[in-house]
Amino acid sequence: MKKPKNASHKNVLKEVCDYLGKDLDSPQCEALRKHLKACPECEVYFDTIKKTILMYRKAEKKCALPMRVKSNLYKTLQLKTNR
Amino acid sequence: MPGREQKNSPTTKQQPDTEWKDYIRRAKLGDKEAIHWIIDEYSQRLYTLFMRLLRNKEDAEDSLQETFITMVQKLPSFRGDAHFYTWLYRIATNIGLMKLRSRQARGGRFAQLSDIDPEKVHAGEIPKWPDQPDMEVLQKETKEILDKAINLLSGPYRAVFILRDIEQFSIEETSKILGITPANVKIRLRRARIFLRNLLGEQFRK
Repeated sequence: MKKPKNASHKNVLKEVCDYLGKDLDSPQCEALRKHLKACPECEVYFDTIKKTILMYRKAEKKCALPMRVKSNLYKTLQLKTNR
Repeated sequence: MPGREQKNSPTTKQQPDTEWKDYIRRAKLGDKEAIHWIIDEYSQRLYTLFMRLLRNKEDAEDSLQETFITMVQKLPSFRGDAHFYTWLYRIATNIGLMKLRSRQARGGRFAQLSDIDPEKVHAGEIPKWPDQPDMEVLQKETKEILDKAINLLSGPYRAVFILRDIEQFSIEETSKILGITPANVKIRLRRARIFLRNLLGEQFRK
């Protein structure tokens, strides 16, 4: 990740969007963190995008695959039910 | 192997590369035990991917069947240039996106996101959100709001958001799976995130 040297609003917004999800404590994100601390507007932007993603991660649980679907699949591909 | 969500799976990080290669080599030759093994490794996570993408059990089940049938048909031509999981996820995502396109053709309504210019989103116009908008216990109402919002994303935007932000593939992996450039992944991701964030913001203000 490129380190934003002169972290303007525009750069910060781009960087946040591109790299959100990476460890913000990493050295590469130092300039970004500094800017976020000093800029309430970007901080709100970052915070709301982050909350959006976190809410989806929490809501989008793993879905249990019905055994019936797997059995049909084995049957279609003429595979044994048990390996 | 697939993104962070699966990193602790015994079938991914802990599976020796040579064992994987051997199963794939055998599956290419039509070895049924090897094909069975691949299906066991991937069926659960691909089903989850389809449920996230299509949000409908019947469509997810059909797409899963279609994915593995296509995989078996195409395996002999898999050259191993790409990682196997990227190749398989590409087949799966294409099938999922085709389903979404046919839904759209049958009158499904999706939001127009190409008008969103992230450069013009002025941070100052965004109101703050509550510190904990039901983050710990997502209530039924919140889940319905999230569901409604993601259902408005058309296939190309939904796929990027799910692969990158939910499944946690890297930008590079997402671009390979979708067959688009990393720059394209980034722009779609920005638009999808801004769209969802704006929609959720409106709902939470109600």
